[in-house]
Amino acid sequence: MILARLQAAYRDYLLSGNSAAVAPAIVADAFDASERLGIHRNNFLISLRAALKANFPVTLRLVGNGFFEQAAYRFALAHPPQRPCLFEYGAAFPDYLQALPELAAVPYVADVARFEFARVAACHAPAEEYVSADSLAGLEPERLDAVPVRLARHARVVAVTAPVLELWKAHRKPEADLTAIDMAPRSHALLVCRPEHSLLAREIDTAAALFLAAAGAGSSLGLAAAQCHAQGDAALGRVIRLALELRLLANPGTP
Amino acid sequence: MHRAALPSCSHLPVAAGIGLRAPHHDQVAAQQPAVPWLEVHTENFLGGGATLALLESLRDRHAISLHGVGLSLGSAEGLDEDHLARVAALVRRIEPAAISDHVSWSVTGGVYFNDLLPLPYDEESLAVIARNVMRFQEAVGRPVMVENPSTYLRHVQSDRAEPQFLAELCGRCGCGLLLDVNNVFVSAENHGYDAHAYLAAIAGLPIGEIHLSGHHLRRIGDRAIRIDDHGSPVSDPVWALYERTLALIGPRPTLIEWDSALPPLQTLLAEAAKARTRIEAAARSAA
Repeated sequence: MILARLQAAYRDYLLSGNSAAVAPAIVADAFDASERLGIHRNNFLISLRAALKANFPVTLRLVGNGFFEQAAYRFALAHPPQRPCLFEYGAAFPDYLQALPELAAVPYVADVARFEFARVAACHAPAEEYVSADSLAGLEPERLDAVPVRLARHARVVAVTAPVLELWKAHRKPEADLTAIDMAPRSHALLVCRPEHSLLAREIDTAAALFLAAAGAGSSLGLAAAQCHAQGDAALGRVIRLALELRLLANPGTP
Repeated sequence: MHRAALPSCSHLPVAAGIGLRAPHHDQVAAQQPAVPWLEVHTENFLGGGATLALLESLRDRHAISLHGVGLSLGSAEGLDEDHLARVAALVRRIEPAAISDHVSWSVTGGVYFNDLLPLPYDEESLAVIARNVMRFQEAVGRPVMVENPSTYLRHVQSDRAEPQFLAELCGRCGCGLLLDVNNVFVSAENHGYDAHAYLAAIAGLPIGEIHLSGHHLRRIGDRAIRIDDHGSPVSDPVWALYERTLALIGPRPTLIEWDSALPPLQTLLAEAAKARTRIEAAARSAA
């Protein structure tokens, strides 16, 4: 079998468990082909399960090890990684969890997972050139449209309805005490960012969320600022100050 | 006897090093253990932030080996150029003492399987992996090492033994061999061949580094197969095979590799001390 076809047959087997196409290429002796191939399928699924556990530690605690492992196993088969950096693996896991009927009664789980993935992404984001206060000094307000910006890679805005920060904080202790947490749904936005080496996570107001969403969509400073104006005159100054302090804006011209 | 100097693919100290994994990052940074070199999985350092900053700080005190698990050198579809560019950028930044990846594949049709999948040992596989190793070396601008795998199966179409395949690969690419002695033992036991004959066949290759790790015996029905899991101390037969290797090729930089069920750092350092004793003995007898 030519190598490309053999590797495609492995792929079909690893994702489906059906070894019919690849088994004839494997020497059968004391073990048959499916027993030998099973070692590799096991490695594939167990290692991805471990990667998801590492990226979603509080989600794991919320649903319990048994359920997490089953969900991670099914997720790995449905959404295997496309790239070898496993700290980037699991972007689709929160939506996958949200769609599971077993979790319909605990919608906060998917929100916590969204937050955890944002944390991992922020932790590993590469450094880049940020828009600084100096670069904006002396800029006339009408020239803001000419300043292109994008959201820095270390910054993520996560829209949630569950009390994610409280849940996450409670689960940093060995015994999580949830009794004082108000679980009533409330739409809000969380900013997760790593301006230097320390990760920050905080709730942001609507003006900041709109501004950062516009920046995230690859906007100009003027267009992003326009999103803020509807939230009141004081909002823009406050949001720009936050964005500069936390290095949330990057120059789109840099890689 | 083959007692060549360290080949050009390796600038590691001829000493025992340890694999550095995330749970030990803070401890190694704070305690600065007297270990001359550290090996990391390249893919874990292709982002930025504290992880990359840590590696940059460690390179002042330790030689660094960048050991890849994700290039998929055996992929028929060629290398992922974006991934290769990230690896090459890390190499420029860290200036490691050694760069390596595996004689295996893990990517096909847009899926990364996160396992070291086996290649058939035939002419087509050799041409594919040789082309990919050459591209890898071109991107990083220097010779790399390729590691012999643990294997659990053989392909019907294989027409040559693994040592011959490795020799042809090193010969075509000018790359070195990262000899994993545990993998030699595991594969020899799993397929019923003689590990000593294997060592004799590869002893003349440019071996720039040795790996040592643990494995376990998995029972399937009334039969058993050895699985390389990097999750336990180096076994006695593997230590014996390692001593045999050093007697054949002379002292080499040797890594204690541990990934699953990671023990305290002290356990890794104690395993490295056992390797160091053997490296020093080999150096004395070679003198």
